[in-house]
Amino acid sequence: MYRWLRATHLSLGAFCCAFLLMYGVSAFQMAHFNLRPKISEVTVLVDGQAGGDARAVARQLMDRGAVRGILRGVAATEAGFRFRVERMGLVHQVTYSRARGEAHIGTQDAGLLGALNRIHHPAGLWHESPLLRAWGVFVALVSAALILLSATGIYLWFKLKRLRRSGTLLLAVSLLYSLTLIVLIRTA
Amino acid sequence: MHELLKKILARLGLLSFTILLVYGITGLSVTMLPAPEARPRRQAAAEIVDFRVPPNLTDKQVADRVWEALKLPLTNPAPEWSLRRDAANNLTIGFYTPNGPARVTVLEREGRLRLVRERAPWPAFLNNLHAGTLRDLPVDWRMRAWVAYNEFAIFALILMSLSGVYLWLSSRPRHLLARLSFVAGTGSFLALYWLSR
Repeated sequence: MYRWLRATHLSLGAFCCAFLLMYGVSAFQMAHFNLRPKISEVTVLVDGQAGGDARAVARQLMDRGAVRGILRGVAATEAGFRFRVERMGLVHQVTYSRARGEAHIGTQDAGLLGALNRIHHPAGLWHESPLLRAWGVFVALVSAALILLSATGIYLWFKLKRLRRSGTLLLAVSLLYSLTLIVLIRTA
Repeated sequence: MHELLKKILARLGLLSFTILLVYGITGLSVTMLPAPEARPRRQAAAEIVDFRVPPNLTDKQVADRVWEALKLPLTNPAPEWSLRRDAANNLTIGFYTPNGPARVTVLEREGRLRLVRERAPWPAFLNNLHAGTLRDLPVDWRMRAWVAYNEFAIFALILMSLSGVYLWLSSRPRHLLARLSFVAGTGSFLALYWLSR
């Protein structure tokens, strides 16, 4: 039993460690500082045939390598329309002018931390994007693994006789503190 | 070094046991949620409270007076971004708590407040708890105590992930199942990251 649970704990931890580090680092960022994305701007001439439709303009910009990601937030403006093309931690804000036939692309890139911040959030299996659904599947897997890691971790600790007394005290203090707070907050 | 890290890992795990369960349950429960537009909205009952708005105050100052008058548990003074005007031009104020939001409409001419409190179900409550940090500067002592625990757990999670990998590599680096799991987990993460970026 002990050997089997130790192997399970080790394997679950090995499976999850990249995800848990991502959650820890992105939570630290969210808790302590705002991101300052790099901002760049460029204007691109767009083929006239695409000018009537935001999707066609976005497609043309993607084909030229000017933007990449999911098309969101299409809205009409007086001069044409605007939309966003987003991927994790990076947003292209595109404003298209029909009269000039050009697209102004403002890009905000929040870098690695920005990407980790965005990856922290997409939970659930309802997203249209297969990529977001895939992240959602891993949120579920890692969450289940975290529960199992906690449970097996308690068992493995209990088997370490030299840590049993001090560990019992720590666990009791931790449970008393956290469960009391949960009850106090829920019933406030 | 190995023994020291093992002790640290065990103690961090014991101290953050509850919150790791909260993280796990939160992750599983948000996985089950339908799309935001398909989630049922709970009908909350409205309460009416007498409140006279003093003259010559800004909306933010009125919101602060409302917060002082209502003394809603667990809330902070309403931030500027939570202030709105409804269709009848009444000031509306949003107060956040892990138990669900409270929305106040200031019925200035009637000298009253309409208070609507939505009760978050348990999964949403745990989700709200997992997201609280010291950066929120909670006024309520229970929330301050909780976010301090959350803050500790963030560091614990990072330290446990790193020390766990070290303990594995320094004791049983050839463990086949662990190797396969590491490749599957880290490989999936890197592949998804690459595709997402």
